[in-house]
Amino acid sequence: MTDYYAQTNTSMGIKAISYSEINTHGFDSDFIAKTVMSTAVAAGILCASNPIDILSKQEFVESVSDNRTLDTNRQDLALLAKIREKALYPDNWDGNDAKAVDKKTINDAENFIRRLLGQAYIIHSPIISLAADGEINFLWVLEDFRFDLGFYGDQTFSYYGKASSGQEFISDEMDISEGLPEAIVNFIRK
Amino acid sequence: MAHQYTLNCEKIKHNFSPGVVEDEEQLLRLLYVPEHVVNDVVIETAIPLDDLKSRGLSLDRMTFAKKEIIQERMDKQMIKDPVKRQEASLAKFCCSDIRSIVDPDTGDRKNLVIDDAMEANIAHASIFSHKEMGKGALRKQRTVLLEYLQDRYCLDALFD
Repeated sequence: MTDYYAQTNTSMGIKAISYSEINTHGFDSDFIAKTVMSTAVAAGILCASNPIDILSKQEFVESVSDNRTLDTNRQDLALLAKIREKALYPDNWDGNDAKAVDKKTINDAENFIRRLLGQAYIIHSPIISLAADGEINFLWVLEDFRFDLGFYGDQTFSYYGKASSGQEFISDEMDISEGLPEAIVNFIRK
Repeated sequence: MAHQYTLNCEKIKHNFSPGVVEDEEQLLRLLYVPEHVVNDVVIETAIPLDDLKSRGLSLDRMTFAKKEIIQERMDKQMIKDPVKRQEASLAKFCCSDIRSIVDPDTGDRKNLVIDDAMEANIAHASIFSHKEMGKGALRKQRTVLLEYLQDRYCLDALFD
């Protein structure tokens, strides 16, 4: 059995996945490397727009010993997993005609969080929940800021937040691609 | 699409209804953990924006509520268990608290509480946003409403 690793340098540091292959079918290393890479990109673990290296276990160990350490926080993966968990709720999960979260809403929430982590590097993790109208909601309850932001699968998000100073932030509709205003990012950046 | 209710609708008795919702009535909102409650605090998703805008935030009027009806609703949902639902509870608050929330600039009422009785549940009532507004403003409105949903009870404590 050979372990292969795919890794890439992103704005969040070096990220990697491992992939174990029992090569009973005689696949060549090039085929395995492509499989590792496509799996990593499809799973959203690595970004296709960044250079991706496929390494053998030995090469990977060497890269670590050269101080090319992994980002062990993996906040992005933890948040993406929480978002996808919301897809498990069926229609009528609350007994009052609740809508299930649809795939577009999941995609919007994921795209938002990827962009936000690109903007802010590491953030205070939001409470991720769902509402009966199909919303995926991110809620930050911080010492000096409470921020309610949500998605409905139309490639936009809306929010309302209030700082302890009394300053309010409100938007009915913002395009996912715009990201959050820097003033808000400053509150939720860790 | 926004609802068509007005302040006058608070004075209309619907079919199957025991009467209009009075200011002094106690109202109940069914909540689930973990979807609506985190660290023992009721969070924003307990009040869906679409409910405020058009569907109506479902409530039970305590005076007319039947324990068995609420219990049945709880039981059905506890069976559905996508992420190990832990408990259900009921927020209790006074109708007048909701009706007295006003826009600080205009003095206009922010919410309507209407009798929304159904054949299967004559105690059913609903909260609607009084005015049509965007999602950001609805989010602000629900943060205000949330304050009144923090006082929670188990079903037995309210009906035994």
